[in-house]
Amino acid sequence: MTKKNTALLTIVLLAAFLVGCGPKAPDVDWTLKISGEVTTPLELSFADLAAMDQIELNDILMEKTTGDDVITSWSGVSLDEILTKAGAAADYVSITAIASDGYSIEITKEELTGAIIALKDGDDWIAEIETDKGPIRLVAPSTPANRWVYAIMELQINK
Amino acid sequence: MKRFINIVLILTFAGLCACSKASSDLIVSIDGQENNITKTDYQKIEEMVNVDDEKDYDLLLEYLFYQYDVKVVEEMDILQGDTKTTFQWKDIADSTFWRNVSSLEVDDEEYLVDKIILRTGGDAKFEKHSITDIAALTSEALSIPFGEKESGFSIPSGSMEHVVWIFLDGFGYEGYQTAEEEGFIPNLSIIGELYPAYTIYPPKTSTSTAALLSGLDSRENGVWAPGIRDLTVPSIIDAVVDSGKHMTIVEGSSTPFNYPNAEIILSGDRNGDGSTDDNVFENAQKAIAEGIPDLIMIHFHGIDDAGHTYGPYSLEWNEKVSEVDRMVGQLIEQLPEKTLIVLFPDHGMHSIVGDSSLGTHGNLRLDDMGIYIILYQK
Ligand SMILES: [Zn+2]
Ligand SMILES: [Zn+2]
Repeated sequence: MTKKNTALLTIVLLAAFLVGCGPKAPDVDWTLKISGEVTTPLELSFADLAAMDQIELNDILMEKTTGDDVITSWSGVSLDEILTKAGAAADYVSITAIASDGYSIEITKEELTGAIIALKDGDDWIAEIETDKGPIRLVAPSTPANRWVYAIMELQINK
Repeated sequence: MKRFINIVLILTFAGLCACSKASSDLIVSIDGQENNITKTDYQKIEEMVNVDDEKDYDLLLEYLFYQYDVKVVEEMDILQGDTKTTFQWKDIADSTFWRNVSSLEVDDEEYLVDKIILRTGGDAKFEKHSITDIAALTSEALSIPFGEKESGFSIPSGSMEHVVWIFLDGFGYEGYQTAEEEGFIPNLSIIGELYPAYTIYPPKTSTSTAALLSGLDSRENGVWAPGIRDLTVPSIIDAVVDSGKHMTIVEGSSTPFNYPNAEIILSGDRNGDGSTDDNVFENAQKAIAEGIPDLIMIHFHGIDDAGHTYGPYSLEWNEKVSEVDRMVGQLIEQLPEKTLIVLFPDHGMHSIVGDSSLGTHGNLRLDDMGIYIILYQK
């Protein structure tokens, strides 16, 4: 390999490295549906979610039903922002979240105080660390972690 | 060439020795009946439990016993050469793991074992029925084809227009008996006929639900460990739907198992009173009033929750039992004629060793495995 080639390779690798570490969201095929008591039903792609304002939830308690509680940090899109965007009824009482494996859960408005749809676990994209758990999950600091459903495909707003 | 033959002879001899000796096998004597467990048996069971590559469960020794249809264990002796150690199963069921064919871990201690001697318990009256009978019973009552098995109950085929499953999570036979003696269940104790039964191993909500819906034991339906949420065998839900009928499931705030093809009504704790039972009750009342489906399952979780959090037979548990009894009484009153009501728990519960204020379930003990099926034809 010539010196010139080596230099070129270094530049290419460096560029690839920088791009990899940059803020760019991974290319993920995922759609989050917002339905139910809303004026504008939405279908948000992973890229749509990644392009929205990202909120950080730092050092929140993850209350586990088995094992020890842990302190974790997440970032993603505020649930309230998504609800506003969809024109969710202001007096909604709960949200039914449906995951890609068919799991569904009804979570009350109170439990959802301060919740986000997380895209990142700490500094890492969930999509890149949890291959079978989907790229997004609910993080709801006001309720135990067994209710933080992952791989969410749909949020149905209930009145 | 001669040398080659010698090597072959030596290898053959060594092979024969290894085969006949089989020192690593484990002998398991169950009430005097001896079984030889090989490395292959161990691997087969290990693979069955860890079906999902993602999960790595510790293999409880109970999985081995259940292969031989053991429902309740009383005592276990383990023999290592001349040493014999005896354990009460209730003390160690949760902490006894099968590490390799003849290697056990009991309460964090490793044992290399030659032989296990098991004394089982239980009661013959539980043997007659099983949670797996309910799917067949339902298909008989509604006259829809499902599986080969007969339920063992005598409900005339097609005699019912509706079947209602009242699923009392964690309210096993012993819990029921205690509550009846204490007078907490005036409604449940006069409804229909009670048949003692066994649930399947491991007695957990998702595994029992799989057995309920498939009519097959956990050894046959593929749902052998908690964490598996799908059936790979036919379910009664599909049979109902394929016959042009409708099934509704009224759940608590989330689905403990996947119910494809059923209409699912979730009942989150909307009033924030810490329990979903009142929400389940309201949703069930509504579903029945709006035109009762052919098959409806109503899943009350509160007794199990109270048992886990405060211990079975605690004050909170008693209160929850009474509350559920009242709700069930009201629901039954609301049901139309020609309805078969089937009440059953998925499993029972026991107090955690050393802390009676906490409850759990999942072991081969009568308080976990002993259940009942109550039938009432309205
Ligand atoms: Zn249960
Ligand atoms: Zn439980």
